[in-house]
Amino acid sequence: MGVETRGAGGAVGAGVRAAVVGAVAGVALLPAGAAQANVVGIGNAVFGNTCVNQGGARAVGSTAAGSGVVGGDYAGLPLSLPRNHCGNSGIVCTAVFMASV
Amino acid sequence: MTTAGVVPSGVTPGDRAVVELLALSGRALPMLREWVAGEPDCGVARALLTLATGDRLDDAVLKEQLVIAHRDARAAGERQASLAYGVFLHTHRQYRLTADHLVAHFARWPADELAGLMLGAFAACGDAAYRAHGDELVERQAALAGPESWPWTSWLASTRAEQGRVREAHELAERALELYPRSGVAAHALAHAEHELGAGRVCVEFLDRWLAADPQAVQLRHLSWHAALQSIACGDFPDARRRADAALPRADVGMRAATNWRLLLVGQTPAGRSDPGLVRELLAAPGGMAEVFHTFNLALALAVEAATEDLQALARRAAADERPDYRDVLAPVVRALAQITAGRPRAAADLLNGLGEKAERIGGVRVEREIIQDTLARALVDAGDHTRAADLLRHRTTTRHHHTYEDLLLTTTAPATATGTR
Repeated sequence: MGVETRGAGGAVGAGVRAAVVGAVAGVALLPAGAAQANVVGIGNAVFGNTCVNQGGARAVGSTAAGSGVVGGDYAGLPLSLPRNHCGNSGIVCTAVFMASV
Repeated sequence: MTTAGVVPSGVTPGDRAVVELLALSGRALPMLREWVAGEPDCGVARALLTLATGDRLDDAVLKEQLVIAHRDARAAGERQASLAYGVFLHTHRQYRLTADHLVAHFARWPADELAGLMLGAFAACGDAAYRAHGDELVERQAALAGPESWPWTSWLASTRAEQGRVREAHELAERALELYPRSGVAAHALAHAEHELGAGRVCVEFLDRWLAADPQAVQLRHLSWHAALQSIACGDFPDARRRADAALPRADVGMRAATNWRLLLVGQTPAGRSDPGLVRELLAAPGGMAEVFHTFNLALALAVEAATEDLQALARRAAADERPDYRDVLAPVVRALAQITAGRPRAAADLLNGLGEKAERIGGVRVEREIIQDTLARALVDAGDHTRAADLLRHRTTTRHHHTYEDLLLTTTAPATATGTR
């Protein structure tokens, strides 16, 4: 599983990482690669609203929690997890919804 | 609400809100709010409203809402709790974690339409492996949901469009629109497929009709931009300017710049421009260069203004960035834009030619990245290398029904890009 960081080259604190690893059980996907976007959902470049991890965040750790439980069902939220910045070319990330407010 | 298959046409406020949200309709937010007001203890309702509005909430309010949503969702069941957890990760823009979570979620609740709302996380990771995994996941879930599921058919159409499987994407989008004519995801996928096909006026008329039925549609501006691109493809530049000026606020720097740069590349007057001061503010703001595609869009806005010195400064910042996509891809692209605005097309062509397939790492989607190819074609023609430019665009001039824009890119024109035709 990829653990994201906030800021270029920064690292999520150990407590945050532990919370995430403990709460989310998923398969480990491959790290690193090209920046792309597609057209399938919210947070979506084609809506002009791409939001990628601030500072080009990359997976800095890889693990398999292995609990077999879908994350979040039994655990609390990882409240110390930071919210990454997103890019802004004049519209913010969920501007996709702003038109309908 | 269902976890798979066709969403009921709306028995409860929650059902109706889900349908509107999946369709990206203009009624999505009001109905989500109505749902939360009517069922304040429904964790999924609160989570979805937060998903839709999260970027306007400050960190404390965002967390507060999601703590409540997750608490209530846990009381309702494991699937609900997992959805709320995914929304927490997504709204915190922790896209790798969101993607990982979705993999596990779909393994347990196949074809869950509400989780499908967060599929964009796979692409937002900025990682080709995640994106490919997301594509495979959409294929699997769509197969599980079956051809009668308009949300999954819509998402699969979008996936196919971005994979370049254009005719398949077109058929799937049409199928989804037959099942549910107000599917915004399908309308958008159709616009992408028809861009690749050069559908021209046919696509514009479809988008006009589709948007007229819901002037508050979530994708109003973006689909208007697609219509403007089709007008450019047909050579109807006044219509493209009219659409850009009508639908895109000046602050919408990205889509405005992407429209205007295309117009300038073929020697046409641009639509209304964005304020260059705003562009500089956006670049200088915290997180202003957080994402490569947004930064590229800001560079395009600078190019529209022929702001060569700003472009050169941005290229230096990108070249010094430790992130490979910035250093190896964005920097040469921005440097090339500066060369063009400085009247040195040969240097620009050399820079862009050197990129090759790395240009994909600029982010965005195919339609959006195409502007790099357009810029290279213009630079080659202006440098006297018409043959290579024609080779570069051959796949477009031979497959797109309307390709007046491409024809003009291959025509020698007076350089409009460095003029101040505001």
